Formats: sequence, structure tokens, C-alpha cells
Amino acid sequence: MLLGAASDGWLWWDWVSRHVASSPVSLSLIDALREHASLTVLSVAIAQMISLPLAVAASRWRALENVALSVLGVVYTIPSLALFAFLVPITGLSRTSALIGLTAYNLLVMVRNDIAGLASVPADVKEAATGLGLTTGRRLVTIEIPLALPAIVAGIRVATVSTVALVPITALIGQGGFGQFINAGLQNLFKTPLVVGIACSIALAVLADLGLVALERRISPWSRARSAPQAARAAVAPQGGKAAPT
Amino acid sequence: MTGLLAGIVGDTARWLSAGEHWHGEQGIPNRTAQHVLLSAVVLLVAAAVALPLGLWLGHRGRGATLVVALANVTRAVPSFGLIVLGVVAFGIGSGPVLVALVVLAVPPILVNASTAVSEVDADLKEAARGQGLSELQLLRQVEVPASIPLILAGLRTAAVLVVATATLAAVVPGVGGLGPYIVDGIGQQDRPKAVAGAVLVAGLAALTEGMLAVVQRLATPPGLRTAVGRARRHRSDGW
Amino acid sequence: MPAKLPALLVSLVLMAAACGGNSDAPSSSGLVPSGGDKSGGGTKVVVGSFGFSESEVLAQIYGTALKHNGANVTYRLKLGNREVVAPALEKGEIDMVPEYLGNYLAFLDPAQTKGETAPEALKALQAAAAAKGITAAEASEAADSDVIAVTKDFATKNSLTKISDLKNLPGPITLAGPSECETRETCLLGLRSKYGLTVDFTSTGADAGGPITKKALSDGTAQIGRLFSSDPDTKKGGKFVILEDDLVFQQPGNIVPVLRTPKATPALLKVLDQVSKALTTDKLADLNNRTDTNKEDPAAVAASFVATEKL
Repeated sequence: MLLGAASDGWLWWDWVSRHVASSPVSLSLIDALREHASLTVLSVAIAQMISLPLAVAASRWRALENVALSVLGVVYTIPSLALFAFLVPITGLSRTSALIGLTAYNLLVMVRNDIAGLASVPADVKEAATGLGLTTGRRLVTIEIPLALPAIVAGIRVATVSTVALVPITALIGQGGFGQFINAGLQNLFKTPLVVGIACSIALAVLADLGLVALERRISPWSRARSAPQAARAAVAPQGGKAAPT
Repeated sequence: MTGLLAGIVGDTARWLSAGEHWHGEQGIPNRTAQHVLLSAVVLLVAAAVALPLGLWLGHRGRGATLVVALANVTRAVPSFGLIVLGVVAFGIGSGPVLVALVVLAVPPILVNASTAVSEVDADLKEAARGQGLSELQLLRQVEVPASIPLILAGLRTAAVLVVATATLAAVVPGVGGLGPYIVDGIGQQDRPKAVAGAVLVAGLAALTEGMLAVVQRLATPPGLRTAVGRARRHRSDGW
Repeated sequence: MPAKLPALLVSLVLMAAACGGNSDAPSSSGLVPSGGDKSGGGTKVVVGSFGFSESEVLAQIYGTALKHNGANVTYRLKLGNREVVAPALEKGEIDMVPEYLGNYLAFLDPAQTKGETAPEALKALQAAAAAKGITAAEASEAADSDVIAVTKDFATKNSLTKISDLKNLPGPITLAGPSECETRETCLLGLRSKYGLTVDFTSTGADAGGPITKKALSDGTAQIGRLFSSDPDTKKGGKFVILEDDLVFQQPGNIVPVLRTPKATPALLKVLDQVSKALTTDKLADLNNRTDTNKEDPAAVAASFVATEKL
């Protein structure tokens, strides 16, 4: 069963079909999907759980906002391979190292967005709420955060897409998700797993983004529809978000 | 835990101050020079491709949807995959890596340039045309100066992106740069080397970001440094 | 509506954590450890391998044979190079790995004198390994040694047959090899110390004698490369020529399965010996041909070898 030229092609379907099912010893698209998705969901969720309280605190104390954004900005500039290299001596070639690094990169975008979102709640609305007798806490949960949701979700969207694109690098520290396919492509100069790895990673990012857009529409139906130039501006700088982590 | 951290910091400091690591082809100066050179060439090529195109697109007011799509899609592309794609398609060495890095660097420059120019006040453009300025003069004398902060922000983003991704090129022999300290350090279980490499490359990225931030501030025409300009710059910072 | 959001968030996180990959223990590149043959109920053996395909195949050959004889086998393949695998073995993260005689001996005991025969080296290895709680089983006649190779053209142009000939080269020479090559006496360091050569190094990362190293040789990025003797491309008529190790800085590379002593029961050792006897260098080269040239899966190649040899 000599395979000849097919093995050198960009998409050798036979190889792909053999590597879909879960396996303890071979590359598997299903296992890779699970790893890739879980690394993404966990790091975004953990980052959001840190970011929102931090943003709430920062909107009370300006000094905290400056410090937080500066520190997170510095972390963001650190190239990802370097950040993982800092973590490996402490947490090993492990999933934990990957998660810590990925979460750290999500924080800047999310904190920025969450602060901007909270800041966009009109002062008179907050005053009215207080006037109605709501405590600060209730006002936060029932008024401010819901109104800040578009910005918060925008932050989650950018973070999610960036994280999906960043997960493959963790293949260099033993994790990787679809990055394992990319790594296999590198190590064997083998086109098919490379193409499959890149394509699946992009597909996952796009699907996650679409899913979050749908989620955003359901959670905050009151967000106004945007005009095209507004959408363009938002795409360039979604609520103050920065470029992808590197 | 603090003992472990102190140990790592100490070992890394020792590695960085060891004389032998500052000589020769594998030494810090040579590797840093390789990294900087590669990044600079990539940025120049990317700017040469992306700036004219972006300025033209913004000037014509075309391609807003294209720009939106580009911004969103390129955020989803794994940079590791792109580098490996270059290698598998074109072979090992600096050439393929250069191509892959240019592909990565073009979008932030392009998107920012095009958005900046298209956002220039419509009335301003009308007035300029009314005064008899040609399209090219309009571009050169009005649109570009007004867009400089955002264009520079795009270049800054691209520069940091390139410096960081050039680290990943360490998986390819014959490229050099600071990345191999990290990759080889991990492969050799040489912790100080890996961390030292990480420190060096993080430092270089931070330096690039800082320097270009200063350039961006200096090159921003005084008029745009007003509160309005600051708000606009802050909102559009990054791409 | 807003009250539901925290609940949604929490359930998402729980779901992700539940269907996530491995735990924080250092994982092999995402390969989920299987439950193995639960019906066997025998000794639990975790089989590890190095990062290159030959090791993956060998690990699964030994592992499958052990499973057929009642052991409860799980795998942690492609862990990396010896600098990662050896500590994992000592710490008990893996129980068994198919090692290479000379290199493992050099790793455990760098002071060992070189140039021993395989039986002598095996004795030395067994002693050195025992001190770490590891039992080295019988060595196979199949061998795969690290070799220094050049392209055919380069060899002909410069009349190279042995490593010492490199001294006569006019220009500087660059060695292409994986990260660990830079710090090993059996690689870059040995070429400098034993052969007295002036050699620069270009790292191929995790590529151990694989396509990236070969590409570096064929496009001139490096003049010499660290390849493996069982590689079909280094055989007669292949693209690369092995330079003879005339000053003998490499020890014999016979395959030696090593097992943590607590798991080294006579029954398991017997199985390992059977497999080792079934392996020959030619068969090894054939296995490599199937994985590297034909791009067959290591798992499939191992399974067919076990079936053919009735292990």
C-alpha cells in the first residue's frame, strides 16, 4: 500500500480521515479540538473573572486604573514564547503554564474594555438608581454591568479570537491543541497536518466569534444596530482594544 | 516558592553577566543584531507594501468592509502556523521566515493607514478640494499629516508584532536571533539560558514599543495633541 | 437576565474544565493517556518515547508485546529528548523507554571511557542504571547510532570518508543538530574536544536527524549534520554519506529497553528480551522507511510488526 505522491500533497484526505478519532497514541483532531477549546474557554473565563472585579475597583480609584493598565500593558508586550519560558521553570512543561500565559494575555484587552464599558454608563442613570434606593452593589449588578455588557462582550470576543490564535504556540511547551498538527507539519516537513492545523485553528476562531456575536445579541438586545463606518471603526479599535498578543 | 524564584533570578543574572555569552556567533550582541536586522527588514518591506495601499484605499474611501474583514480575520491566524507554512512551502532559512513575517506585519499597517485617512474630516477635504488642491496634493498635504498618529500606531503595533514573532522563527535553522536561546534552553533543560533569552527578547520588544511610542508622540502635529486629538488617538490606539 | 450571566459563566468554566485535556502533570504533547488493557489487570506500565518517529514505533512495539502478556500498558509518547525523558523515568512518571546503549551510558556516566564493545558497554550501563533504580534489559542486535553525515556531493567534492577528514576543509564548518546537540559530548562538544575541529552550530530545534536537519544539509545552511544510522537516507545509494567515526567518540547504539526496577519482574523482562531479539538493524531501517518516507502512522507500523513477528 504505497502512497506515493499523495503523501506529499497539501491535503491528503486519507491521512486526515485516519487522524480524526480520539487516540492515546496518535494525533487526533477530536483530542486537539478538545484541548484547544478548553485552553481557550478556561483562559478567557479566568481572565474575565479577574478582570471584572478589577475594572469595578479601577473605576472607583483612578490610581488603580493607571497601575493596572500599565502593568498589564507591559505583560502584553512580552512575546508569548518568552512569557512561557518564564513560566516553565516554575510551573513546568504543563497545562498550567499554558493557562497562566494565555490568561495573562487576555487581561489587558478585557480590563480595558470592562473599564470603558463601566465608564460608558451615563452618570444620570447611576444617580437615578441610587435615588431609587439601590445599594451600590445592587446598582452594579442590575444596572451598570448590564449596560456595560456590549463592551464586556466585545472584550471577550477579541480575547477569544486572539487566544485561539495563540494556543498553537503552547505546542512548544507540550500542549498545543491544533498546534500539535502544526508542529507535526514542522517536524516532518509534512504539508497535510500543517494545513489541517492552521485551517482548524482559524475555523475555531471564526466559529467562536460568531457564537459570541449571537450570544451578545441575545443578552443585550438593546444594543443599537451599527452603521458600516461605525463597524469599521469598531473593527479597527473595538472599544479601545489593542492588537492581538504576540 | 520565593526560594525557587530567587534561584531562577540569580541563575539568570549569572548567565547574562557571564563573559563568554557576549562573544562570538552565539553571543548576545550577534544574536540581538540578527534579530533587530530581521525585524527592521520585515518592517520596511511591510510598510513599503502596506502604506501606499492603505493610504490609497483610505483616500478613495473604498474598501471599508474589506478592511473590517481583514482586521478580524488576521487576528484569527495563528502566527506559529504562518511561520511553519513559510518553511514547509519555501524551505528553511531567513527568506521564508521573512515572507511569513511580512504577511503578518502588513495588516496592522494597512488597516490603520486606511482607516486614518478615511476618517479625516470630510469638510476639511471639501475645503481643500475647493481651494484647488489636486488629489495627490490633498493626500500629501492634508490627509497624511492628519493621519500620522494612527499610521504610526499601526507601525508600532507591527514592529512589536514582528519582534515577538521573530522569536518563534527559532524553530527554523539558519535564522538566528534571540529565539534560539529560549528554544534551545528548553531543549537542553538549561533553565538560565531559556529565561535569559526570554528576558532579552522581552526587553527588546519593550524597547521597540517604548521608542516608537516616543516617535509617535514627537511626530504628532501639535494641533492633534489637544484634548480632542488625545481622545481620538486613545480611542484608535492599536488596531 | 443579568442574574443568569454568572451562572452561565460558571457552568461554561466547569464544562471546559471537565472536558479539558490532561491535568497539570507534565503531559506528552496532548496525547491523552489511555486506560490500556483494563481486562489484563496486570502490572501497570507507563511506556514513554523520545520525540522522533523511530522511538514512537519502538515504544509501541514493546508496549503492545507487554500488553499481550498481561501488563496494563499506557503511553506517554513524544516526551522530547533524553534531557526530558531520563528524569521522567527516574521520577517514575514513565516506567519504561526503549533506550540507546551508547548515548544512555554517556548520559548517565560521562566519565566512561569510549570505544567499548557492545557487551562491555551494556555491563557498564546496567551498573550505572541500577544506581538510579533502573534496570537495563538485554540489548538488541538492532542498533541506531548518532552519526555525522554530509551530502553525497559534499563528500565527493572534498574527498571525505571519515570525520577526521573534516580537518582538511578550508572554510568554517557548521553542524546542524537538535538543541541538545550543542551541549553533548556525543555531539558538538565531542567534535570540538576529541576531533579538535572548529565547528559552529545551528540548531534545528526539536528535529532529531529529521527532515529539517536534512534540508539544512542539502541547501547548504550546514555542512555536517547529526543524523541516525538507521535512517534509510544514510544507506548506500541514499542522499547522505555517513562519515566514519575514526576516533570513536560515539559508543555502539544498540537498542536497550530500560525499565524501572520495581516493575522489572522476570516475566516482563522476558517479554522485552523477546522483542529485542526480533529486532535487527535492517528491520529497523524498514520501519523507519515506512514512517518517514511513506508517512505511515507509527501506531500502525508498530502493530503490523508485532503481528508479523507474533510478539
